[in-house]
Amino acid sequence: MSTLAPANTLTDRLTVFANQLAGDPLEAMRRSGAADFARLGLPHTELEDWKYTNFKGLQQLDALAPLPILDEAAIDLNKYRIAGIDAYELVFINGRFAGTLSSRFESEKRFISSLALARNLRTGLLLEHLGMYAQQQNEGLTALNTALAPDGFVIHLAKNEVCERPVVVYHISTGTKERGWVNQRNLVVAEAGSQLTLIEKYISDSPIFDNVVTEVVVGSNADVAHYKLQTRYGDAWHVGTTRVEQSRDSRYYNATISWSGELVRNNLQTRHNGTGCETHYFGLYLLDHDNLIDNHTLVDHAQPHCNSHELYKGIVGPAGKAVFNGKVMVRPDAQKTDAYQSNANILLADSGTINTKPELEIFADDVKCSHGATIGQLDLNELFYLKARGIGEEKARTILLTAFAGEVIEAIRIDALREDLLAQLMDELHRMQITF
Amino acid sequence: MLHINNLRASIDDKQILKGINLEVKPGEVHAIMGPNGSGKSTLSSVIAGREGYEVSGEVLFNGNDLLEMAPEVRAWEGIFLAFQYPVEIPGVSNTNFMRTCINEQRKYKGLPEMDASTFLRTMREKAELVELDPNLMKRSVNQGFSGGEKKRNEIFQLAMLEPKLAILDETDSGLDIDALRIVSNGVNKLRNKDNAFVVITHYQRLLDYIVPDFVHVLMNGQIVKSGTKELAYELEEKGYDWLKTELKATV
Repeated sequence: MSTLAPANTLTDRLTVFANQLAGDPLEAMRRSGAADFARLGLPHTELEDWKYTNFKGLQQLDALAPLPILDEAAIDLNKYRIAGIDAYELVFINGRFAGTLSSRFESEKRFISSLALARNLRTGLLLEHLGMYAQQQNEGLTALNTALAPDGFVIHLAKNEVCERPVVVYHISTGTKERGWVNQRNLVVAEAGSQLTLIEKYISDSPIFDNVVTEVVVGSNADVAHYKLQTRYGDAWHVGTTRVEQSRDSRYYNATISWSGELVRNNLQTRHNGTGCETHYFGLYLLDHDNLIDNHTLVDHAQPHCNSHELYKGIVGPAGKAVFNGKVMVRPDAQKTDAYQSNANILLADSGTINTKPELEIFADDVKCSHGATIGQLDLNELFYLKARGIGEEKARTILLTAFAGEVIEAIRIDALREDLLAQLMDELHRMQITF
Repeated sequence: MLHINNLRASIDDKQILKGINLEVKPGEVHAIMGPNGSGKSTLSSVIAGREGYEVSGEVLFNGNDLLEMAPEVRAWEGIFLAFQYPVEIPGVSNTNFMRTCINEQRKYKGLPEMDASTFLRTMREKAELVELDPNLMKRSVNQGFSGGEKKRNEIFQLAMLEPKLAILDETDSGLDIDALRIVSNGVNKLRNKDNAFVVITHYQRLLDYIVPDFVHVLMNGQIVKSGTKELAYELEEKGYDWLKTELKATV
């Protein structure tokens, strides 16, 4: 270690940031994040939770400043839009809210906007919820995010407010050749009986490091469908933590689709705080070069009569590395839990790696829990059957892989999004096939 | 049409086919019978192009070297194998599967894709031929089908693809008499002077419904006796042991 510390380390930046906090309504939260980060630091592979997720060079990122602030007018959103979806759109460029590209909506019952704006417009909401759920005390990157994330999206639906149009959030990173930080902090509060569909689309043509924390509160009998798409993510690094709190009789549905990005780590955690909750996780990951996609999921069954259903599927090509870690916790009070988890993988090349780890911790005795994890190759009998009927090798493989991955895409509830992803999936799998 | 000369095949150094000779002409139906392990299924696999066999000898199909062709090319050239155990393909609907098969074949022949209405009409007609429930077409290929439905689906595919040479690998195994009648009727309606069938079976019963022109007995990797359909009755009556004894006597 050099005795001359770089002038712009994360620690220095946190100090500078802390000096500007006076009068900020989020001051207490920021300071607690900074304190936790000072204790935890950045993650490394000696930590059990990061064992298979090696962000080589993460420690060197320490000195890097955040990305430049760009001219919003230079961004053409049409390139990224999903055809056929009439949505509220929130756009973030290099982590900053792009107001002129976004369709904010700020009424008493419905608030669809940014964190920077919510600081004044929804101060009470932020103080009640922001930073209350994400586990910053044991995760350095979450603590760092809590300490300094400048912006993000904030969605609030009041009681019984049904948001019929989906909200699409575009996280766009562009305009830089050096890897830089984006710390983004998001909050969703769907109060009792409300209904929300949220699509997050991560887009990058820069070597970004997105450190994203999203807290989602699903009120009693409320319904939240949440899509996270990492399909045009270039060489991005991403650590995204989504923490969901469900009240009684609520429904939370998540689909995470990842087939790009150089290092991607999705943490998805849900806790049931009342009876009758229902949770659905769907995930799909495709890797075809020297990249890593890691999904760490948790369903915390803390109350009786709740269901969770989890299906993750992956296809791994040469040199790709996939990680799945699915934890299901069934606490002593959570009788009559019905939990199902499945992780199925196809390995296309010997040089690919898959680490899959189902973790079931069950402390209640009257429950139904099952899990399955498989790693296999394309079924040669299926392949021969297709070929014998006149379908060539390459096409036959693409058909079988599309069918395998399609099970996840079919679970998408928005028709336009499902069709869009299915078409992209075929192209992507075809491309993966011909790179062999 | 099909000319097989001294065909040998082994798998993992185990010799299974030990010099098969067979000549099939357009319009003919050949039955191949034989006890378990005699090489019947290996013969059909080798003709269809399944990988994993060490093959020597000659197989000509309309004068072209079949052994040099990839399985899909054999299919495009007009070879069809009705599988003994039809494979389930989760996530691929019967309709999409058939559409792809037909259009890949048409592409090979330089024809444009079949238009949607012709395709659907053809599918309806051919499904009727083997009394296959049209609702099965929307389902994944063979997934959740009964044994009889799987076998009828094979004959349905045969009807759709109109091959020159169809090999039925124990299509009758596991069928009750009604299903057997349906499958056989389907095959009989598809027979014409330009196509040929090789029917591999364990049971003489099938040959009451699909009447062959020739019967061959395959034992220990060789065709040991050929004759007309009367040979099948004789086998049914006397069993394969009779043939073994008779063969020993002639050696």
